Amino acid sequence: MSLDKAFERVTRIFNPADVQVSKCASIIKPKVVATMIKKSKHPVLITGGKLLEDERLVDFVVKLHEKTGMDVIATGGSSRPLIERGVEPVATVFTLHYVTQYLTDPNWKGFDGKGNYDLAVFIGFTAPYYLSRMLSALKHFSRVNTISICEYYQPHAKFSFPNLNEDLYYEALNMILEV
Amino acid sequence: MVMDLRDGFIVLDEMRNVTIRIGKVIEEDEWEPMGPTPKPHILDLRYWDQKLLERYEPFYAPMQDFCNLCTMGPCELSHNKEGACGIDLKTQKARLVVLACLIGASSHTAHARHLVHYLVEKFGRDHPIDLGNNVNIEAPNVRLVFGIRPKTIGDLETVLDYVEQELVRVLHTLHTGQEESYLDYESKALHVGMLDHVAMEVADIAQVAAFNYPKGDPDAPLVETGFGVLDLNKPVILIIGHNVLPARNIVDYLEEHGLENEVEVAGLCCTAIDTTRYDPKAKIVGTLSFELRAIRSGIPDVVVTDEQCIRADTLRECSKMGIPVIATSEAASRGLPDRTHENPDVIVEDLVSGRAKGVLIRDPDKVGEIAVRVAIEVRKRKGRKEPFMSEEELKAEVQKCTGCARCVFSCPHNLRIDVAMQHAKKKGDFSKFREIEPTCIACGRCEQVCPKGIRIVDVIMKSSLDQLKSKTGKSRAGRGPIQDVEIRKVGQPIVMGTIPGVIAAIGCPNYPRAREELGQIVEEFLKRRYIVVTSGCHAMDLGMYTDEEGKSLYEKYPGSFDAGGLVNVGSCVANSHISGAVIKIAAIFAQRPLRGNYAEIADYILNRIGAVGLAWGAYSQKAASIATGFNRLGVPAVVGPHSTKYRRAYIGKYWKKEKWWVYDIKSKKKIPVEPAPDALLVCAETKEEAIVQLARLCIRPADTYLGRQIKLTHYIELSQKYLGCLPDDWHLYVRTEADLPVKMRDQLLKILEDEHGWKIDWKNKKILEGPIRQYDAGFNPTLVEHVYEKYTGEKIIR
Repeated sequence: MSLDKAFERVTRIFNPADVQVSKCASIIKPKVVATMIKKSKHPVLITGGKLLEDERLVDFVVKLHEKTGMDVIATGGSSRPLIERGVEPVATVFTLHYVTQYLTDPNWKGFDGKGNYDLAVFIGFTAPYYLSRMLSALKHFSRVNTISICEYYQPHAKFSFPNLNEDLYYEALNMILEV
Repeated sequence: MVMDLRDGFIVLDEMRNVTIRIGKVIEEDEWEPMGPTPKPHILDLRYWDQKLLERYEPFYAPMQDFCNLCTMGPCELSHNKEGACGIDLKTQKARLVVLACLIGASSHTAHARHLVHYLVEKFGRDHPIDLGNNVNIEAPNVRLVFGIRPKTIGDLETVLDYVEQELVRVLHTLHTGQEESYLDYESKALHVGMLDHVAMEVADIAQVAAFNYPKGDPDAPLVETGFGVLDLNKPVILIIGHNVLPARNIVDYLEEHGLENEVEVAGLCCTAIDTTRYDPKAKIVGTLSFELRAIRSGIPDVVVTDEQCIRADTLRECSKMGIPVIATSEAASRGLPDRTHENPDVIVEDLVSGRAKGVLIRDPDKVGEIAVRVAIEVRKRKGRKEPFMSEEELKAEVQKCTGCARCVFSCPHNLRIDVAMQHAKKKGDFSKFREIEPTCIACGRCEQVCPKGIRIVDVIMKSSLDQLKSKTGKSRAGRGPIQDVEIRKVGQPIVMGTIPGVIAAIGCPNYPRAREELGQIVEEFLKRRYIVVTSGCHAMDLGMYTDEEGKSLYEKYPGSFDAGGLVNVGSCVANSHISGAVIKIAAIFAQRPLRGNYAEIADYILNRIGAVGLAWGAYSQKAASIATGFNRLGVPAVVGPHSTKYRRAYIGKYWKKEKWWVYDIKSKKKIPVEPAPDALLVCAETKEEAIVQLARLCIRPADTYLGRQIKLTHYIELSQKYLGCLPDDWHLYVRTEADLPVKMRDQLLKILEDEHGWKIDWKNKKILEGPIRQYDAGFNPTLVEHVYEKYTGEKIIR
């Protein structure tokens, strides 16, 4: 299957029972991800523990950070491989749970003191159900735009990649970098 | 005249038709003045909850964004909209959290009631609660909440009367049209959590006192643990659940008939732990996630179920394997006919012949004979089959796979079963199943959706059989309470911080990854000489975590409540000994009165005792309730990622400086403090993250400089080891240069100066300006006004 077709077909939720009545995430194409990051005033990339076991994800985050200058909040221990590759995350010790709680507070100044973020991009979480819960909190209790570029479709993000097999997934990530 | 009151009735001769009935009489000597909140009702500790909730703001992650509990609905509540009754999404989520806690606490309370009722019948109300010479504070939770010092089993009935009444009152508040603030529902959840610890304590001290379990013994026997420990040459009785009564009767029957070496008695879940406390020759097969593994293996000759955490398809699964089932609980009667009062010979024959797939035997004292006789007869008739399936069947099953990946999407862990299937199908290599097995909780959801009907769980287990069998080790039998003498020894170092923390690894086996990760987390802290306490499924899985020589952590670390000790307190209900231990520290070391004095003790614990829970695989409503009870007591918990499905966490915001303050009893001032701990319930994604969070959440405002130095040393070292850098917030916990790790002092002072703008006197290497507050050796923090007023003699103008 080509990448284009993968983004056009109906996608499944990572868990068919994780259903809500509010709108499910719109499928987002890599080029649009890149555009949204570019247009955002205060974006942040939030990384998860899968980076500890997937060098290609680390490569991607390093390149995206270099290309966009977007701040990285590293959770789940993902800071270690990123720091080894020269990325300095703006936060390393706060779990995704903490970070989501902070994001739901409109008065939070962000880790850089510039105010709450207007766009949060999520990548590399070992547990899709964990990210799903956090995206649900952000959907209902915050105004932050959320994009999941994980391998599973995340219904509670505002925008999400569809489910992608391994090859297509890395192809999609590379396309973000190419824009 | 002093009347000697006893239960019973008095007839007054002069008033012929008047009878005065005296119910229960609890004789209480004046052992301690009564505190402000004995037998607290729903709102009595709301002021304490509001202190906690002000700091630790509830965080909601909805599973659903609708409510369908009444007929005005279903109502769409997304984006915090209000439903037809006026409730908003946050409040509805808080309401569901209360419901979860109620389910959990009711389970323990009903369990306690059953035990106490049974024990009163068997041993009488006057049976003493004797937990051994070294346990004088026998029931710290009961003393603290209810306000009595129970001396007999009969005294516990009154405690349960109170708990049951409160649980019903809270349940009432969940009806449509009640609370409109999520904070009020959170206060109720905290109330239920507190009651849960009381009920658990009642259950456990009753069974310890009556059944002569280990009484705080650090050298409680080691018991065999793991899927591979069963002697398959003997009939096997497998007992599943949480209530020891039927299991005890089985053990007694075997002994009475000289059969104790002829039949294997093995347990799953907390019944396993409590059976080994009664008889260390019994064996622990494993946790909840081993239920389907054990049944599908065909190894048991009879399965006995009691209550809680038993798969709801146990009878169906056992029937497929030809294993008779004996249900014993009103809570889980499994659709079986009640044959409690029938002739055992007939029941045994029906079960052995297969005429009956199972029976309900409500009297635990009748279970032993039937279970033993059935096991022996079934074993004789059925012989032994290959576990799970034959090699030929295994190959045939994987050939059916089309790679549709429905199994992956239904798996709670999204395990790549499809990849393992295709790998086996195309290459004949089953190794990928062995990679999956340690994470698989054997829930069977994958089989429900497989269009080809592949027996996926059996395929995974058959492919991993050697691995499964080799996961054996030794657990230490649950020792019950922590001794008062142990508390005397460690109370001061824990409060001062020189023992860096108490890590309580408790809860269920719904881990995010392989079971081994739990052992890795715990061992990190044992090596660093934290005290590690454990219970329930975590305690069992630690028994299967072994080194190259096959030794488990229980064999490598002492069972004492001391630095570097690994303490298995027992089953779920024994968690009350962990909350009891932190309560006892306040009572024994700090001489704080316990009786009906909840808020003062919880405040003491929150500010001084670096105890943190680790529920790495929590799944149940009981776990929700237990954790919430710890939270009200001032003990934070780190949970695994599945626990975000409980929907609610308590997470403070370190940057909101106005939220981080205490009254200092010494200086008589309200002063800012460091955000320690900054969460009461928070999730970690990976073991690396969990380890760092645990060390971080052990920090307390009242740490001495030496204690803070030790805690910061561990926190910083662990952050560097697992996160690759200094933690973001270490500077928040620095009050004086003496707080800093000695080896890093110059480096850290430089960072404080360069990155945080602190003023440093480099000649004397002293901090001149920068910390949230100055260190004061006499610092005596409290959040509670009446505690401040009690110890200063001054009124706070509110």
